[in-house]
Amino acid sequence: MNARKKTKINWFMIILLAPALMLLSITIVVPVVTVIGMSFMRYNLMDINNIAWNNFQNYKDVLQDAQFFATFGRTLTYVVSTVCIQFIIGLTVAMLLNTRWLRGQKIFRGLLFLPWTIPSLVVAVVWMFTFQPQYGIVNYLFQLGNYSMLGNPGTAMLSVVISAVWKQMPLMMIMLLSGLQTVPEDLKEAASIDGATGWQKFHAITIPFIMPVIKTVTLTSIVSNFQMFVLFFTMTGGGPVRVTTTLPLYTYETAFSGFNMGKGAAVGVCWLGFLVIFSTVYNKVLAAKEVQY
Amino acid sequence: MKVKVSNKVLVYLGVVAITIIFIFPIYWMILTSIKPNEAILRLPPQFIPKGATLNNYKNIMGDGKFVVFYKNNVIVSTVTTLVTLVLAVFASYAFSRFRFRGSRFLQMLFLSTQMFPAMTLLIALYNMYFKLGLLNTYTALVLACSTNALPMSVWILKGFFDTIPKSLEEAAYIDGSSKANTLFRVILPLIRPGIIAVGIYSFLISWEDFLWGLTLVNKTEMRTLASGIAMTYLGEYNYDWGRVMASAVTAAVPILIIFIFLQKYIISGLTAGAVKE
Repeated sequence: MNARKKTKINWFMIILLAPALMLLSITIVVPVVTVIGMSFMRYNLMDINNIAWNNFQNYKDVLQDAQFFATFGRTLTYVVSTVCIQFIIGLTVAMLLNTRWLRGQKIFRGLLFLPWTIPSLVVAVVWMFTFQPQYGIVNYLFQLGNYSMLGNPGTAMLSVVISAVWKQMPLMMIMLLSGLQTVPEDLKEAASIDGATGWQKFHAITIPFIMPVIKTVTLTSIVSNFQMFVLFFTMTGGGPVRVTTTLPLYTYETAFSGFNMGKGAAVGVCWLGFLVIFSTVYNKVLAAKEVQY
Repeated sequence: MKVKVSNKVLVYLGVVAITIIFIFPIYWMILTSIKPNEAILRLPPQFIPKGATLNNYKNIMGDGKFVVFYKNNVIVSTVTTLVTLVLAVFASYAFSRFRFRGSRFLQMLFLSTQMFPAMTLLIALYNMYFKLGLLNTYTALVLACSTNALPMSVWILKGFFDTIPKSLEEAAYIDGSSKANTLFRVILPLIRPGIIAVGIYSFLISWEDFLWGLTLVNKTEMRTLASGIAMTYLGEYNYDWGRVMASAVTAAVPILIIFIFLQKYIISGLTAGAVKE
């Protein structure tokens, strides 16, 4: 009886899992396989009846395209600066809010979380108005005259980074704060008694303790910022002189404006490959810095 | 331990300053939306409104487009939330309760789908939806948005299911309750906070969708809010900022209100997963 029960198919479990698996198969697995297939094909929307194997031509095109590497570099600049800045601000705010004697912690936390609830397009619009050259508040406060933050190659990326940080910092801060709240006070007090300085406590107790949280939030943020499309599309359109053309915009242009679906697919596959390798390495490196109590 | 007064003052000043900086753009957006046009274009800017007007709101409500975008967005987000909730509750319950070969691998796969660039998937999805005749339909948008929301939702809910002891179900089974009945009548009521958190999360994800609304739809009457605002009010060379800000405020308000009333569920739901692992 028992042996039979073990080999019996658990229909209840299958029924529970089937709908979610079906959705993800249709909208993720099938497209990923299709895109990988397309990346090896001559696939042009202007010449849709002539789809054929083209001997890695798309990949050759991508790897010989100086624009691709420039785009990749700009994407890295955007991702690294956005994640670093929001991590530093997020951790600082979280540590301030985690101060034991601070009153109104919940009110500050609630207020600081508000930007996260603002839809990304609205974020773009609000910051476009803030950076408006003639009557924008930033130009007024910093006496920039008619200087256009978004229209100038030197500051366009910075402006997008600022708006991205504004929207994303709250989530980072909330996660780090909840991590900080799990650091036992007595451990820090014991260290103080032993004569540890503030920096030593931070470095040797706090950081290792919240390392799992840091790992999760930064990796999530890196991966999702690689995908950032709406801010660039709305605020700069990739300009001026392409300084804000990042991978999503480049893929969009190649595949949909340039009608070269094959090359667009190849760009996407390189991008996906990079993220898979990167997140594996990132997890390994940071896992080494964790401590188990 | 005694804390120096000067330190206390510094911490309070820091927190207040950062809060003001982060809240200011929201205040500025709302303020601009109720200013008359000549006040918006005036320097120095008015930080406190003189003579508020609702003209910008009347403008967008009366132009016949904004209301359509809004309706579409409400439909897509509501259906997406329901679909995501059902799928996520089922899947996360299975992950939490049953050990089977490949369970961990499947869970990892669920989470890693967030890594796949949406823009890349779009190349394939566009063709697929085109062939199926699903472009310009709610179905396509709901499928796309549910996919975005599902992985995190499963992750959050599994955390909530994991906190409930298995003995509870065993007791219910002994009492003769069926498996489905146990899940719906006994277990689900216990994870209500998790369901609320995931409901809000998936509503927010689909409410703020831009990419799918931009690419899977090309008819004005099927546009959703974000892409609709971008295509309609940002298309001209000289923006009518009052109108743009009124549409922005109206787009942001539902989520702001939900957040103000249910913030404890959102925060606990979002942070539960990160801290546990």
